[in-house]
Amino acid sequence: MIELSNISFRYGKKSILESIDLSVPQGEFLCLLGQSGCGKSTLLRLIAGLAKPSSGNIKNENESNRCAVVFQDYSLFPWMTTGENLLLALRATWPEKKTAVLRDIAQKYLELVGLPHCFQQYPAALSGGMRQRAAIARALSVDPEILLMDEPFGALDVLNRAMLQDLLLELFRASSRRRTVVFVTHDVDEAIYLGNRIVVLGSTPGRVIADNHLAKTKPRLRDELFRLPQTRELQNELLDVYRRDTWQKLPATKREANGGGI
Amino acid sequence: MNQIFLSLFGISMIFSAILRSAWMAAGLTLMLTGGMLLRSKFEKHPEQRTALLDGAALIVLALLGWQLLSDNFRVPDPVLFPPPEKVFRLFVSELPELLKGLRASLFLLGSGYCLALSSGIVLGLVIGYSRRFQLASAPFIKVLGAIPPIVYIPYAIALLPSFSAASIFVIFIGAFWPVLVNTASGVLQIPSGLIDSARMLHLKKRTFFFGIILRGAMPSICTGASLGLVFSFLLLTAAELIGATEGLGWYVKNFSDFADYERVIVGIIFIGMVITAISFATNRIEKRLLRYQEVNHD
Repeated sequence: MIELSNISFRYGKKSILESIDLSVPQGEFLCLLGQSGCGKSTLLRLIAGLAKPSSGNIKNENESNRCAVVFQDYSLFPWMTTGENLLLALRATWPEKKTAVLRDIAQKYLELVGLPHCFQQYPAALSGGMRQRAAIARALSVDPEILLMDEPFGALDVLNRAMLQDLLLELFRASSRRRTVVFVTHDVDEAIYLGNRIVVLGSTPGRVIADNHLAKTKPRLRDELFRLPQTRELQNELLDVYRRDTWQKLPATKREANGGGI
Repeated sequence: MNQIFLSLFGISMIFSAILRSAWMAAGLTLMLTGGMLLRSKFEKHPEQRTALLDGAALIVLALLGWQLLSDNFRVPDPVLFPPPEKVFRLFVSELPELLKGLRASLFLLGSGYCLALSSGIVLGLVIGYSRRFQLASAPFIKVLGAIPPIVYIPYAIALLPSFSAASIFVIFIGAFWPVLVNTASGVLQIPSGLIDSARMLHLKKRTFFFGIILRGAMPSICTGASLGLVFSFLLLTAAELIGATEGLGWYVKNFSDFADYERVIVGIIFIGMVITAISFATNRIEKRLLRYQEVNHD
């Protein structure tokens, strides 16, 4: 369980996040949805421990406290081969294990994400999609209890994004461990497809403006899911939350110029 | 291109044969171009191969022209610019003396440069990583780094016990600032996402510093190291021109005092060859260290 109580974060005089209360139970796939600049990545950094909140508390009640992060870019170190990138993480997690054993684990995870021949390749030699697969492999290889993902597929083309979403879901469902995932995105469809809970952050300052739990029985196939009327309703509802938040932020004169609420 | 080059080479041989210094000139051109031809054989990229063959052809042409003009028209002045054949003969006979000078120069250069490289990199990493050190050192770097190192020569000679120590100090100062500044800016240029990624792996401090920070700053460190090496060469020659009793700079200065321009040219050519060889070696090291940048297929 990750417990955030009354979290605020300020950067200089600017308030980025305000009064955020959120608890993420173990095994949940939580999607943090919000527009660019609303502070969702900052919130993820706070959960990861990469930054400290200006006020409030973050409690992490997981057993091993092992946490991995996948960023949109810069997850892999470009001067190491893909295999070395995995080995670095594995060595840091299990320093007592022999290199040969860790190499086997690294190779196994590369195979799992569909990159069996990429151990010796540098990240620059891989496509964007392959690099993100390798980043996911490195994150999963340390068997984390919490997986934090900051718009990991944001820079990919539509086809690659869909393939990696499927892969991520497959790995999440197949895992024997009840892993908690916090996934940051600004794409409503991505959040609906991946998450079993969607938290929407409003902007300036970032705060929770909607919290939707999705049905446990939601269809696993993309086509099936997006054909359902309930899914379309949810899409509209989330977009409406977005719109209302943007509307409230507009100065009154602009609101009138834009149609005065028509 | 091969055909053009071979025709040029053939013409050079015919011209050489009808001249007084035929075999020496031919030998000289053969030696200089042979190496380039040999390299071109092993060069995989057609563009590079053409460039090597073009270079070889130009050397043949230039030397042949120089030899012909000097022998037949005494242009340029053979006292100031002795013909290639004479220079080549002298080069061979002076080789032991030149190698002795090279040893002395390399000792000064190696000591000053290695000292600058090691201290510049370590301090640069600390300054680049720690905001506090960065702010504290910024005024010193701005003022001291801007002073041309050559102005330290009189003080170095006056304060340090020997000429060697003074030269090493001046070379050190010349190479130190570019290495330090580039290392620090290299650390600052590491994307914050990579630092976050490394922090999330909970690496040991040593691995974090040497495996991430040092490697991340490596492209910039290589730039600083190359710049430092250029400054080192300049300062080595400057220092040797002032108070040395051996070394390559001293060799050129000493013989120019006696208007022995044959030896001056031999010294200049040898210095050029040494610098080319060192640059070639450092380029190879740099390519090896940054080989991960050469495989982008995006």
